[in-house]
Amino acid sequence: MAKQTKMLRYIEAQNEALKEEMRRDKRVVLWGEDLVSMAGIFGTTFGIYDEFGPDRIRDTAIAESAIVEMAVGAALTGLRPVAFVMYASFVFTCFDGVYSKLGSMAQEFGYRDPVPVVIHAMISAESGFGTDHCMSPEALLIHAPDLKVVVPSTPYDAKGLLKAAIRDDGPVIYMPHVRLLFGEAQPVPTEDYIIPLGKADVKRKGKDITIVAYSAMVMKALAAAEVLTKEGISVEVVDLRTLVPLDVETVVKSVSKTGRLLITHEAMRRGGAAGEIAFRVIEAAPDVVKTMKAPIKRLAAKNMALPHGIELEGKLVPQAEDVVKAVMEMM
Amino acid sequence: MAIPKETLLKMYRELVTARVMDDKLYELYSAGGSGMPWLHRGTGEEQIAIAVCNNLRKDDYFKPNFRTVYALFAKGLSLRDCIASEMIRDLAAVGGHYSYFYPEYGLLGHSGSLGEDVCIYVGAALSAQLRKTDQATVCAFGDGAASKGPVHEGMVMAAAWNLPIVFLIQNNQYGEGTAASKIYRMKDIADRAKAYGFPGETVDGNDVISMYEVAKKYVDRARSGGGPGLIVAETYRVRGHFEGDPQFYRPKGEVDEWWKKDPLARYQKKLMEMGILTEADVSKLEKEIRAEVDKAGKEALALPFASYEDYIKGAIAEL
Repeated sequence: MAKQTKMLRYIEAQNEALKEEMRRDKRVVLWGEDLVSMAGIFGTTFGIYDEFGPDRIRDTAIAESAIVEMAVGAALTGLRPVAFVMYASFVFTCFDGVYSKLGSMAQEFGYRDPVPVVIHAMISAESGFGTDHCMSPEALLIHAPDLKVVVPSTPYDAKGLLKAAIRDDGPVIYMPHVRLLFGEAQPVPTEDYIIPLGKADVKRKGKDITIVAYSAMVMKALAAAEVLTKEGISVEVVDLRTLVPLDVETVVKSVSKTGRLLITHEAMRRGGAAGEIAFRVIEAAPDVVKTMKAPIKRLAAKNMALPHGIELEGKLVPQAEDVVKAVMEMM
Repeated sequence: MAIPKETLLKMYRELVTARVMDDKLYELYSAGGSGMPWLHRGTGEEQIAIAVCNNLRKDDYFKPNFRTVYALFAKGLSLRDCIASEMIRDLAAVGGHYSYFYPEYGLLGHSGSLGEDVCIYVGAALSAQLRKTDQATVCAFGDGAASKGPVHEGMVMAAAWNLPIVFLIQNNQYGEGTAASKIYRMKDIADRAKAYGFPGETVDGNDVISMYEVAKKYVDRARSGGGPGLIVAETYRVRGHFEGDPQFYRPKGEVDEWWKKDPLARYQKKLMEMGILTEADVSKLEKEIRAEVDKAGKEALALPFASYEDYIKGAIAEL
């Protein structure tokens, strides 16, 4: 961590990242639903219109296909758009744009030019808004050939990863989590920094078990680790930060030490990212896997649509208590 | 408005070239081994792309109906590259005839899922507006693709922001196998423009001169800040949806009727009536063009296929 820091919440860190990148590079432009009229609903784009004006930030119609596909056209013609589709589960409404255009074209069509697009789409699991708003689509997104997938968990990571995403010459989907936006303020460097895409972060060191998580699930894993300490279990929490590229090396290094691996996410279990992560570990380090003290385990949301209301949704999406239970079963 | 004689003759030459190209691609496809995975012929619709291109600059953005991409030499591509793109001879062409990705000519590719590329061109028009250039964009698609949701979204955004783009519905009477008459319940498809609050009009897309004039009107309007517009070019798909399509859906005699209205023959007759083209010019020109296209075809065939080694350089993570 840098010497000079200031305390920022996750949402403020993102707001700073956008403003700083827009000041640094005039080609960075923003559009999406209610970015000007409602500051991106939660305040992510607060103050940006006042500083940069209508040539840099615009409110679109409620038209997600246009939001995403316009970004492809603009990126091919000299701009670096950050296109907001509000909730991550809205990518289902514009999936051809996200998967087949943005997420494949660069390879399928053999671009000789970069396609610098960031899609900003908020994960919203456990917000109680139901399937259309709260399903976590990241497993579908990592299946796109050319899409980097960013899932930050802290203010520091959010700022550094969003800046890196904007500077990246390829398509990136940046997915902040609604429930983290107004979490506690944490120290963030005042000087310019980026976090390279594809570098996991060990959020807590431990020796008995590795928990791999990302986005809001990192917080639940950390809470569970506190509880488990009292049981005499030392937990290492690896925050992937990006799902593509996937930092298998950091996971393997941790598992080599702890001998146990629990992978957990808020997205549905069937076809979820945990399956991919586990197999990548098996492929990368079969010898390590052979010597593990327990089989690899995953903890994810039930294979069901998410209902409205936190009460019921909270029973389908894993909680810190569920992490504790899963770890105990592996000991 | 008189169209300069040079432009009229240039369009004639281009139209003849497009037809010869169409034959050449069919020949290469039928022979096998050229690398062409499929062929969707645009015979008799090429004049629409050509009339548009003659109103565009090299730095303007243009998406022709995917069926007539081989007419993109009218936007500046070489004949060789037009043929090579169909045969996957270059990384720019890994998307086959859906790609034609040549940004230096304002060509930003196509979508195989029809209609999903329209907003890419709306994005190019937005980009031109934000970068404060005077580049115009023309985005053409068929009566079939026009039903797709993103086309609506693109038109909404183009209207909202007064973008410099012309939408061009190329009504060739068939969306794959389904007749346009079974889908469209209005007399004039251009009425759709009213719903978005921009002007629109229908033109005989098989009449080169009318097509040129209407394209000019809407392109100039878009370029000078007048905002979006919609052209509906009435034409006809004389071939099947794809080469090999048995066309059971087609009423008997319909194709023959349309061949009588062949846009090339009509245009040739018109230029002869105007006294700027003679029988002698026609045969001389055809001979010249056949030689050019043959040469381009040979050059394209001699190019290597897009290589695996080059292709995988595009991977962003592990293969």
